[in-house]
Amino acid sequence: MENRRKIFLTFEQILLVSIFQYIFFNFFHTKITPSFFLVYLLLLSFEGKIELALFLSFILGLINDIFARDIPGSSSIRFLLIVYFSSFFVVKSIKSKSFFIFIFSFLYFLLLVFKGKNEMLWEGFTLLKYAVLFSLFNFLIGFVIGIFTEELRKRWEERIF
Amino acid sequence: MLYLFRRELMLFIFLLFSFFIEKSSLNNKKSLSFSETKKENFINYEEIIRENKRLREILNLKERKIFSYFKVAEVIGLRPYIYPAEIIIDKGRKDGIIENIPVFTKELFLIGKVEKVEETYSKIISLFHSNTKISVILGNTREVGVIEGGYGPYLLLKYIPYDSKVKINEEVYTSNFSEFYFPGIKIGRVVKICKEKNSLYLKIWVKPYIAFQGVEEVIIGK
Repeated sequence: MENRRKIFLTFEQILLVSIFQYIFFNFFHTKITPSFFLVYLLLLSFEGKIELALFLSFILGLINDIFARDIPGSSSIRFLLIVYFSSFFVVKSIKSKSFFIFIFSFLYFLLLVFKGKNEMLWEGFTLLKYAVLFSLFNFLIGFVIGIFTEELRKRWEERIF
Repeated sequence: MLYLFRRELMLFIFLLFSFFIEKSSLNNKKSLSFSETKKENFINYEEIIRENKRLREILNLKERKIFSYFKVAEVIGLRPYIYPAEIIIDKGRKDGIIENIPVFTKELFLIGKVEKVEETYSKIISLFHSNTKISVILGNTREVGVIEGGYGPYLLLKYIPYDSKVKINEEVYTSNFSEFYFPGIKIGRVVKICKEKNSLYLKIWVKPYIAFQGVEEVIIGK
């Protein structure tokens, strides 16, 4: 029963994150689109659900490629690498979670424009500007989600105990 | 024992799957793009009408015989998704694509050139790529400079003399001195002119026409 509840909850979360990501990709014509998928995967990894985060990196990467009109599989590779490296950090507080989301989002963006042989597709300042912007968006999303879940948890505990 | 390395094992297996999917989707020329999904599953008539309109404009270009070599390809991948430096198209060696040929939008604005050709797909490096360096000429002053990519959404125009009469909104074209591009291809407009101390040249920022529009079909021609 407990397992079924967990699976149902995960599906619910994936659906919610996908809806947000779809809305941002299609209806907000901003230069930089925050990655709800990346934030969600990082939060899962920080909570210690690493196996689930790795599995979902593969799945959500494919969904992200559909939304972003990218070659299928390319986002999965980036998500998998970022989630794997983030799994070495144990993060508890909302502030530190948001901080690490910023750092790993920055690394994700660097992977996005990495050409190989220590070269990038963009030049220094442009790369830095967009990487910081992308990381900042994700940082804010992570922070809001953190506060929201914390509040939900508090209310839930108060009701039950 | 394996349980200890379950993360690494999962990472390895999923990376392998991802690489396999990426490679096979490139070879099968299938992008999971929304326009295609819509076409196949939902028959979005609006999208089909828009596509027909675009293709008709391309057909008109073919009839006007501007190019001696002419191919039309569909974009199946952009990297990164804003100001893409690399564009993957669904035509390759078996479709007659060759390396170092200029690539255009249907309005004949320069996108870049074909860099790598595989059997079923090709890679284009766009104006936004940090490796892009093109000899260009200013529309009014006729001064020749070199345009450099990597500064999306802008391009950096170098080697225009300090005392140049260049103005904002002046058009920039490819020059006679380019190795891969024929002269007169429209690139963009001057948006900012900076005078720097201790330099003999101006620092000019050009906004390419391709920064204003999405790229769905491209023309490869010379």
